[in-house]
Amino acid sequence: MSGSVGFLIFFLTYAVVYAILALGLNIQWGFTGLVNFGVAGFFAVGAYFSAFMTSNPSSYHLGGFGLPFPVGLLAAMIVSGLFALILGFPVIRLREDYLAIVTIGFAEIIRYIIITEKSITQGPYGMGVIKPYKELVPTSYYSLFYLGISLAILLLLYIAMERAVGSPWGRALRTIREDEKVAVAFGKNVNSFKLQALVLGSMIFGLAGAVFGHFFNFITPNHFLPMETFLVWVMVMAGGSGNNLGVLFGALVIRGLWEGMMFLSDVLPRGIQIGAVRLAVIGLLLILVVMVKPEGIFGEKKTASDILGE
Amino acid sequence: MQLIVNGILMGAIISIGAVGLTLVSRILHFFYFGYAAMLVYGAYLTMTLYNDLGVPIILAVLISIPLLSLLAILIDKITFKHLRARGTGPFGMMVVGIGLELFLRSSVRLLWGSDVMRYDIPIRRAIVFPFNIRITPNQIVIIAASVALMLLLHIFLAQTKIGKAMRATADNIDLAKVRGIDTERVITWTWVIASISAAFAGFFLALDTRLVPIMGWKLLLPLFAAVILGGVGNPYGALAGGMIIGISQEVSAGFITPTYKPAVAFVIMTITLLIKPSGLFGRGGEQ
Repeated sequence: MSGSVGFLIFFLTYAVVYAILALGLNIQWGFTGLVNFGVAGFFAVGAYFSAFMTSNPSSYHLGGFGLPFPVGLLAAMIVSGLFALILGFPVIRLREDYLAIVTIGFAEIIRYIIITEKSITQGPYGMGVIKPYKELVPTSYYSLFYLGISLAILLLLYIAMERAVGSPWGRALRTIREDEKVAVAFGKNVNSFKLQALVLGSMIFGLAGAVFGHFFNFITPNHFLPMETFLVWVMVMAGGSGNNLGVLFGALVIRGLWEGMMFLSDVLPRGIQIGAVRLAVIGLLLILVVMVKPEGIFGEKKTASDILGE
Repeated sequence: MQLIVNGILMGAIISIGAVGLTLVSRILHFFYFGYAAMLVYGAYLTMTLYNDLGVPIILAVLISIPLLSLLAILIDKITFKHLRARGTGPFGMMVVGIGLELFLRSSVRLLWGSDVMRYDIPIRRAIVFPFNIRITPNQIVIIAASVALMLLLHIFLAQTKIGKAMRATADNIDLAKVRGIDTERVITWTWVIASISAAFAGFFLALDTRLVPIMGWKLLLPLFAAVILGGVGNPYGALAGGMIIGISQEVSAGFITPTYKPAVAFVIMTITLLIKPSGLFGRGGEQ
């Protein structure tokens, strides 16, 4: 596969990774109203732990256990979830703006650890990640095959999330988002529900990290800059917090915009760095969403009981 | 000993920056991430004035302040003023602040490039003090100027009418309104103080290290740690908090890998939030 078809497959796989991230953030922010600015940190943890589990034995980094791909995915989710539990247990009760700063600091420290602990992660040079099941398909079709795997994971996750938010558990989360006092009045343990949302969402970030690592086949600390967190935030806020289909759409469009800006480099005068332009556009989008359309393009579906009517 | 001296230097830079940030956080009622970009803009404007236009360095810093203030007030008029009128909560404001930080930092890269730069100030040898402590003349200037700035700021906050109005607003915004304080005017002055604070912190940081567009973001975690440790809205707390954070960060480099310096600030900040969210001095804070 080469040329434009190859690029399309590359773009779509990348978009699927971000769609998974967006679904994770939607559980935390969209449904529970929990602020997590540390998405990139959990994303990194997932990518690295799946790599440790699945790569061949090596003395340059941790692990190299040569385990199958599903074990990598599972490890990514479990370890990310554990990190969320350890971080969340003490801080979940903090006010949202404090939580924002704490989570952003957490993600930065994860990145510093990856840079510094070279014997575990190979530091800033990054480490290779295997292509799962590459012996099963011809090389030229591999990228299409992997897109299929990623899409299957996304689809399963989407179905699971839709069921979760429609359940009594999901209703409890939305109540907490709308008014914590009401949730308390109904006998819900608010902090416990918030912690569950934090852990579940972060497990999904970990899953996205694993899918990303095996897609890119090479991970460095630079793949997990704070900017990635805000890219996911734009996707969720623009797509419509609290609407799973909306945030999937947001992920596709924003990712398209991100890749599309690459073509600007032909138009822009020489010396203008495309990276800086991209970052500026993401910044502007964050500002615009809050100022112009805080509910996002799609907003949230109404979920009132049928008995109540409109 | 050398580490403590380094810590005092870093503490001075953080303290100067934290004073502006704590007042903005309290009076505008949200944590402004774009403050990092203000620091960077201050440092780069000073560089252009000094390196390219040949303005004497002290004057360059002083000219950068009104430019920075204008930029900050303009941004406030375009964004935050509307959000205040609409009653947008701290979270929306914070997201806009992050958007501004990303946008402004990128604009620095587009205007000045991403390369590491420095002020064309001759590098002078460090003076060796007893106990083999090394301090460069620039570092002595930074510490002395920080002390002078803090004194001036104290006089401003304690003696002038607008300074008192600012402290009153920081203390209790509703009470300040009831007492007839024009809070929009206070907000404008807050941006001016924040610009002074950011311009000096940015200049000192760039003087002690180098100019890179990311330098403001890297200082943001220690700045927030200082603000929270000192109690949000308490400028004197921010000074003390800045010193504590600066010294702990540098002294920690004696025991752990220096890359983990920001982690020290993070741990101190998180512990403060868990044990005493109103900060060391109990005033600021909301709880």
